[in-house]
Amino acid sequence: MPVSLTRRGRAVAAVALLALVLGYAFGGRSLNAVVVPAVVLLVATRLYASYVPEPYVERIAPREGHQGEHRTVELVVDAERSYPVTLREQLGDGLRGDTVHHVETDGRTVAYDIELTHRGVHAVGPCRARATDPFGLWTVSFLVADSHAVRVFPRVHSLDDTAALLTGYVGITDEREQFAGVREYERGDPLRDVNWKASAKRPSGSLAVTEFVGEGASNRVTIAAEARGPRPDSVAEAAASVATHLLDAGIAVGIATPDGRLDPAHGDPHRRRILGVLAAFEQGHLRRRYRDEADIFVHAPESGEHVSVTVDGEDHRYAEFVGSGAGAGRREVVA
Amino acid sequence: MLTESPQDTAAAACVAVVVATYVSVLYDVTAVVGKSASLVAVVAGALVLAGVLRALPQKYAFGLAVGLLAAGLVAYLLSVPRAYYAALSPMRVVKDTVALLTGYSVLRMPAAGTWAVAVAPAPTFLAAYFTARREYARAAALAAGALGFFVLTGDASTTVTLVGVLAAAGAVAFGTLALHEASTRQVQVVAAVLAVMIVASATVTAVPGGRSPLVPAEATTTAGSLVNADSYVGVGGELRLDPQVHFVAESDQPTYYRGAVYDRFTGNGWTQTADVGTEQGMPPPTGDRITQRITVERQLDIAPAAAVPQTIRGLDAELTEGGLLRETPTLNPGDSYEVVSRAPPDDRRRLADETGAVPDEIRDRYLQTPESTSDDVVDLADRITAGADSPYRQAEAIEAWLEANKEYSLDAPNTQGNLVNEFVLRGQVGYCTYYASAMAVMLRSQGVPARFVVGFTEGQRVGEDEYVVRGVDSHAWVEVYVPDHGWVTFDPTPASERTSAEQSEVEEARSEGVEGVDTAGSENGTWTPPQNTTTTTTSSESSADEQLNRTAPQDRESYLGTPDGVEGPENITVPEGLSGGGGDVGGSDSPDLPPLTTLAVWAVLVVGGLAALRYTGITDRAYRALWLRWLPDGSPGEEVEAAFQRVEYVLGQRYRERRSGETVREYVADVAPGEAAERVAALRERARYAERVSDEDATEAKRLARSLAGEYSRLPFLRR
Repeated sequence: MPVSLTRRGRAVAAVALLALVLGYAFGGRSLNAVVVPAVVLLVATRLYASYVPEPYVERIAPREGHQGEHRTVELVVDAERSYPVTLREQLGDGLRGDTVHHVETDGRTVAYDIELTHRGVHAVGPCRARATDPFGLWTVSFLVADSHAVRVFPRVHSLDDTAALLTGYVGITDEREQFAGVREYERGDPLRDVNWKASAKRPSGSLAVTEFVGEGASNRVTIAAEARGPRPDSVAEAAASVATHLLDAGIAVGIATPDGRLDPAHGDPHRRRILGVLAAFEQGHLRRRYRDEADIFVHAPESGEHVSVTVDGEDHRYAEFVGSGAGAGRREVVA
Repeated sequence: MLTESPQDTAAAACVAVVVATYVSVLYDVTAVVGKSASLVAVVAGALVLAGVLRALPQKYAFGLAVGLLAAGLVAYLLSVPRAYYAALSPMRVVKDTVALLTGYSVLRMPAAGTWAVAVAPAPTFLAAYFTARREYARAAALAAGALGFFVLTGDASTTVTLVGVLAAAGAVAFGTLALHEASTRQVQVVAAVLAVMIVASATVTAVPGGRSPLVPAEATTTAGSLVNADSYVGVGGELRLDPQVHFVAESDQPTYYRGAVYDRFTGNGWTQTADVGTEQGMPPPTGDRITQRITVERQLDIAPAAAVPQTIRGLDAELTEGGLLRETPTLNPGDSYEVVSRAPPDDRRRLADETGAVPDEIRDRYLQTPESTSDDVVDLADRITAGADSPYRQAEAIEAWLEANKEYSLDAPNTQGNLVNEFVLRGQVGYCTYYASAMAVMLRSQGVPARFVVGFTEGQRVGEDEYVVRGVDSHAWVEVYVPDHGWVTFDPTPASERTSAEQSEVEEARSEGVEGVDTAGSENGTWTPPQNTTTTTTSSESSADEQLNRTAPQDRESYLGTPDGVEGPENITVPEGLSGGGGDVGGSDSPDLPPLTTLAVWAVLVVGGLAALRYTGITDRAYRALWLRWLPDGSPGEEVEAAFQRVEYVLGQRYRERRSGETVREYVADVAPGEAAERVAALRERARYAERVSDEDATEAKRLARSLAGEYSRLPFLRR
């Protein structure tokens, strides 16, 4: 790695040179006590910088988070010999935080806060390390830690008032009073439906889940999302809110976007997968087949003026689901 | 907001040191010309202001500093004499600035004290402001810039400069380390680099002309003559003048040859402020008309001429209103010029009772005394001049006192402090500059304007009107202002002792065969007027001619007698047991402590050296190496234990260290170090637990430990 003079180093060199010239032109005065120390300083720090070993930097960064959240990134900095170093992290557009850290390579950990400002998949890093001498006259640059992807999930609104509407449209009644029977556990069943008493009695030891009246074939829902216009963020937020709402209601939710699809399922990992798909959601055309197969279609027209939710062939403004304050002061929920 | 780390404190302290260096230079200026109390006050004010305004945005802080500087300079311009103010133009400002930056001492400026007070606050404010904002590099750069100005004007000594440079580097480094919250390792690096900077600046000369920063300034004046073109002439220290011929003069009369006139006394030297001798409306000289032709024999930077030159031919020089030659070109051997002078008034009957008013211009310039002047000197001057009621009589009294009470010697001691205090109150010996400085300061303390003149005495007379003047003839004397008559020459140095000292030096040089001692027949002895039969080698003593002495004013009282009405001022003695004022009175035996700056440089050097040792770990390694090879003597049990410790250390370096809780037997079994080490471990086990160990066992253990240590140190890649 090439060693280069900093601005400060150039200033010192300029002073030394100027003092030398003035000393020879107009008499020595005390200029020797300026020139010699300045040159020694430049040479000594140059030697120091030349023998700087490469730093090891390890980054511990979050993989995901919701828009608007704050997360902590940690950097562990070490080298064979300790020296002052300035770490400069590159943060993707959707992330905000202190990117410059002045540390020493003595195995210490620097922690810094990032704000997840925009939905999307953003990079933390790569990290550039500028090693310097203790006087800050020379620097050596190293590329240290590779970039790390952080998925920033869309905002999720709580769909409280009109939640029943949606479940109604999809043909679900959240009637859990009326017992229908017990069946064997299938992958993706919500944990709260496990009938522990029945499971205990089963000789096979496998789990049993309770089924309620009103739960039928439509406990599996696929949401399609499409933004033809300039509002992919709003579509993503709407789709994420609907998906979260349905998952909370115990329904297996699948998703289809222009980039891909996920089959309906339950559970936290699946929820994160859905949010992850929506994090990467972009403007584009959805395949016709996906749209036809979907139970719920969240979309914005090319004009981008509003976001609609189509259920059973009927269009609804998304704003209706969010409630009275929709649009301007929507309540947000961190799921 | 942020917590202060030790590095922050160190950086702030370093900035403070840089500020202190240039303030000390300014303080030295004010100590000479007054206003040091004001300087301390404005610097303190600037610091307080910076503390109060540290939240100010940078733009405004800069604006404020520029405003402070501008206001200071305006105040300065208002305080300088009207003549400068009138001559002010952009061209002149540029010229003066360039002059300052090329080595024109700040001390030579008119109203230098006011200037110092005017410029001090701005950089101090900014440096303190940036320090308070933890921008140490900027603060240090600003303060170092201010110091750099004084390095360029030549007012900052080498040691002060080095201290400032080191402190600036330290401030930058500690600022960087504070930013990085760095460890002690980096501080060691910084200290070591600073130490190398000191060593290099003391040993390497990149720009010739400075002194070593590690030893306090030496006190011997080794110049060929006192007369040089510098605006500064140091007084004090052993003087070694050069016996070679400087010039040959053809002159109607024997005269003193004036070289340069100095008006500002610093305590151990004289400086020439700008425009000295340009005072308007001075009384014209009334003495004899003297025509001289000077032929230069060695390179000279000034043009010697009898006072007061009226016209000059063959030389491209400026002749000021007050009759001083300025901006003379360097004169080379063979150059020759002719001067017509008019001698200053010397008629005692007319001068002695003159008590008229002194023009303000003269008062402003020629009454300065350094603040370090002891009150005892002033008291003494009061007593000596008690019976004298006119400037002329006061000058006579002081001259007589100095001639009677001080002894002439070229091997005079030098001091760090005020030379006049030392010479008048304590010292008994001195040479011309001591006498002349003392007389000028004492007169000034009595309100009599006086100035210090450096030039040559009349030299050796080799013909009726031909004189050979050598380096040893260079001399210093005093001119005293007598109202309505102008500058009158006084020479307080005892003439006979001076001339004999000069003569012996010339003869010594002759006998040693030094070249250039003689010219124009001077080796054939001194020409004496035909009617005179004495063979004295000095012209001044041999002459009884009053006219001769008019411009070579030695031993006035010898031909004028003791002034009437004054009963022997020369009998006044210095009071015993002086205290205060002059500092360490009578402490001539106690060794002088070097100045603070020198001590600081040494301290940084020592600390830096130790830090370098610690950083490289040389001390630890050296200790280890010794420890490994040195096995203590004692009981066999102890010896075996010690041998085992060495073996264990070697094994720890070579394989791994023994874990805590691991027995030696387990450890040795695990690392399998080989027969020798295992044998020592077994011996140690037996010594320790069975307590059966013989002297032979101990010897064997020691031998094995030594061989293992030797083997280990021969494997360099295993050493850390």
